[in-house]
Amino acid sequence: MSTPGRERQGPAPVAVVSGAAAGIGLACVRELRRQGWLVAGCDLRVGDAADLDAVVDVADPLAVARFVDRVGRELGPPVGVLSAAGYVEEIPLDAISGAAFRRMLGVHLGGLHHLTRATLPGMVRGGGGAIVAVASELAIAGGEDAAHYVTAKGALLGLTRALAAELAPDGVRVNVVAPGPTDTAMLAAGTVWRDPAYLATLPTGALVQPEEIALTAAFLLSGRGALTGQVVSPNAGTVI
Amino acid sequence: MHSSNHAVLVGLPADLDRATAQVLRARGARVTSSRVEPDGVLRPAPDLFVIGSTAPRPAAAFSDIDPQTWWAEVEGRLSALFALVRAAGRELTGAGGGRIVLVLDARGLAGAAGATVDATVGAAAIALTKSLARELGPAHIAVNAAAVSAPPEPGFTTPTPLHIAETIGFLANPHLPSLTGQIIPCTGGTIRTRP
Repeated sequence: MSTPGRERQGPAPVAVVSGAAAGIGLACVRELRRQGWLVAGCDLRVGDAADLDAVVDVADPLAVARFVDRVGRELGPPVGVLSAAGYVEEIPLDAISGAAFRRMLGVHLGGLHHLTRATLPGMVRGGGGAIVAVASELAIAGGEDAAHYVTAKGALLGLTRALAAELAPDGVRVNVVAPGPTDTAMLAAGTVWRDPAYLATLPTGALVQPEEIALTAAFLLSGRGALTGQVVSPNAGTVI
Repeated sequence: MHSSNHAVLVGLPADLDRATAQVLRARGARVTSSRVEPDGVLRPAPDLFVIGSTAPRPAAAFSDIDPQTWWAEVEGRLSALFALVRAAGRELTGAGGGRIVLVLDARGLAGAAGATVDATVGAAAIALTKSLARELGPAHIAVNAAAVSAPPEPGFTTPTPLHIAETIGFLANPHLPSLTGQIIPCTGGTIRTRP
């Protein structure tokens, strides 16, 4: 796949971004548009930053398929997928219900899985594409009181690596960006993540900015480095 | 925020040196390459060092290499890397921050028959990258690495020097202060573990 972006000839490439209404997903929508992509965003709340915004629960495969069909009709077939929809809950293992576990897996792993299923045939027909999943540093190093979140994020790494190997001959590249603690509403005020004493322990001394995740995701989507099967982690030095 | 104004390239293979200079110049950086200007004046003060540590040698079985040759090669290459990285760290600390990108041998990750020298030097460079990221972080210096030179595999794209240069350019981006201590295998997907 050639490099998408403003210097590219022909129609702008189309990307689908989940979790597009806020935080990391929203920063990705803005950065991808800045780099010349046409962006279709989806979220549980309607966003307003993409070229097409829709309300979709990414845990619902039919809803995702309908959304991707609409994107194809209105913007063109997607050659980029950014699976950023997600949420975190801090709950000790004993208190994680079966329903909470299934929902966590459904949104994070289901989101990537359903978006990939819905977009892959078009990418393969078109000669290639790129998929990027937003995981977490906790998928690499683990963490306390979020076993369902860590499991779901870790699952993204395995699926990504297997897809990367399987889809390399089709020109579809699959990678993960694994953010460290990022300065979005997901890190609530008053939590340890915003405690100056915690920040002082980070090698960089500061939270990750969502724009850094967006720059990383945009690079992985661009194909400029021919990377696939990689976990790139701008994490402020939390996991080295 | 720090802007990447002056990049210094040291010890890269010729084709990668050219491609990296091309990528960085396209972004408006001044580039000084030790290949082109071995005694180049480093002004303005550099804010980016790209340091190569690969020197692929013919495959040779460990048992067939004379021990003194093996040792001299490993020690020589690591000593040279150490000296370059130390100089870069001092320069950047004096300038108030910046970035270091190492280019190291991906065989340091999983090893390869006939490549004990390259794998040893590569793995040492990985450990050095990680420790320097921790040590130099408070001085606003990010340290990352691109891992290159794995054997090609069917079905996977073999990266060109320009592909690798683009990844170096990504790791060199001054707008990514949180990206530090990371090793990116630039092998077209043949290596899929996180180093």
